[in-house]
Amino acid sequence: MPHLAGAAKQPLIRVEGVHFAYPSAGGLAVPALRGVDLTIAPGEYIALIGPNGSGKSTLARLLNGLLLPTSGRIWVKGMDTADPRFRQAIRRTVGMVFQNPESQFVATVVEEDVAFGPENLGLPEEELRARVEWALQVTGLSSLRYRSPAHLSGGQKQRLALAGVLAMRPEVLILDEATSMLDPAGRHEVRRIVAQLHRAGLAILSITQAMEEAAEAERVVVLYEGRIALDGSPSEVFTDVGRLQSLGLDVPPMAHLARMLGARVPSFPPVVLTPAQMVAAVRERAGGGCR
Amino acid sequence: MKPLIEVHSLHYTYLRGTPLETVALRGVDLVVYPGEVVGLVGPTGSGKSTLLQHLNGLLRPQAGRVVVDGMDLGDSRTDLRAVRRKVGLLFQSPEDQLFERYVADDVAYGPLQYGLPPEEVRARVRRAMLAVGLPPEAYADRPTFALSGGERRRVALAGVLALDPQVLVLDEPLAGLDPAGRRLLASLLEEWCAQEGRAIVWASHSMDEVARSADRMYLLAEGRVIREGTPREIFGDAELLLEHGLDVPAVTWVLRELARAGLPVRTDVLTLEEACDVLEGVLR
Repeated sequence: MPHLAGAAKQPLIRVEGVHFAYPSAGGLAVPALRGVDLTIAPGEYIALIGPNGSGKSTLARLLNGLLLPTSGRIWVKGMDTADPRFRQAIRRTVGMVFQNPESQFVATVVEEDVAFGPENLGLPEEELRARVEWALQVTGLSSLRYRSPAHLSGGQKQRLALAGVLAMRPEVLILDEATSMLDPAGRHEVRRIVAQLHRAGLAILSITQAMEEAAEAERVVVLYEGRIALDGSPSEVFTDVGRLQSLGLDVPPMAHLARMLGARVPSFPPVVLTPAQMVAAVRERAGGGCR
Repeated sequence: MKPLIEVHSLHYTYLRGTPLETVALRGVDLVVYPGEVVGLVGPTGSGKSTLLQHLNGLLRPQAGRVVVDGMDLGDSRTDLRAVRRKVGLLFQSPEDQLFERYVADDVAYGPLQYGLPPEEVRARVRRAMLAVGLPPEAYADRPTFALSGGERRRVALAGVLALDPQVLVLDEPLAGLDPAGRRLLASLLEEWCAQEGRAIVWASHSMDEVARSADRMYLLAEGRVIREGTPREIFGDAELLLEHGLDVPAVTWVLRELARAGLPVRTDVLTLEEACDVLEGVLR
């Protein structure tokens, strides 16, 4: 189990007893998180799932100090997010990409948009250039560097938002429904780049409503009404259909199919989560009679 | 049967006559008949949103024709308010556009704008809230900000239904909702459409969603209709979809891969139940 092995290392992020309530007009606080404990190890790939209103986006915004806990504490590489001296360092370490990339653009040319963040770090010219080149290359935007962000496709825009964050050299990337509004090609592009970044050692926390996407993470954390309801590998979390449905969630479609098949063909394995696993499982057993 | 919506060789160009002009539609034909859910798929930039905005008169055709229940949108004498009562349009993430403080007020906004008498407005708000699974007794006086994302989206839908449209035009109606919210909204829409003389136009990037919901579908690319047919016909041609940056439903993908590996399986499969039958055959 990769996340257990990872947990032995120095955590990248540690969340302890965190509560958060949004202030509201009547003075009545609306609780969004009600006691969350979570540890994220360097290089982990976590999917954060949960029904609408369970506190996922709130948690994400707490992790990079955009919001501060009402009570409890969060440390990023040992830096307390509530300590204003660490604000810059924490935002550099924890990069965020949101659902609508347009909200993150600041410049009228792709290349300048990518350079905007690192420029403000006062880096030497050479280092700045190297970072921008690297970010453009990883996201496949090198040939579009002189375009206007407004004239990019949906997938390209989201890649640009990603490039801007990568140029800050973060150690963890938080994706808040970053692919939910993209067309299939755009979604594949972004997911391929994220997988590649993860292989290169970046930690990923992906918030998603697509269970088939969550099935591809190393670890799945389920939030429900502001608390962590489940935390484990995809095969642990996604085998409990009843529990997930009671939490307003579901198992990935391939897990449903595997269960339906298992009921008719007893030798069929119960744990299949992705289409690729389904293809492999069927090929292994096809035409075998009583193998 | 007489179509509810007819679109003939529709063309549309943004910023026409300027250096920034962009052609969005290059001759689109589409019909919507009563009783059907028409799926609309296409990559970003294929012209889907531009087409949707023509269906309720937010855009007027520059060339070609759009006719809604006999009303020609190219005719400047056509009353667009009448068209908009016939065709309700729900944009992406419509829950961001709720603006009244209380649920019932938000649902009532449209009918009040149309100057309907108060009793009629009350009756419509009630019907619309029931249709989206938000019983007025429990929800009418709830503040909109205190609802979940799924509830807020259903409030937005109720606001459109309160105008009593015959056609609903939906842009990514299920995106961003949790699985329970998606299941609920999909079944509410199906129920709404099952009533006499109604139809839905459903645009989505989720092929699984369109495969499950649509009776017939259109594939749009670069401002043209590339293919029209049933989901089974269109998703049966995986190459065509992939070529246009789209996808096939997950079960279709699995069976296609198995067929390519030499297993004797059908590939025109859309639902988990069908896939289960086919796979059982090769596993026995």
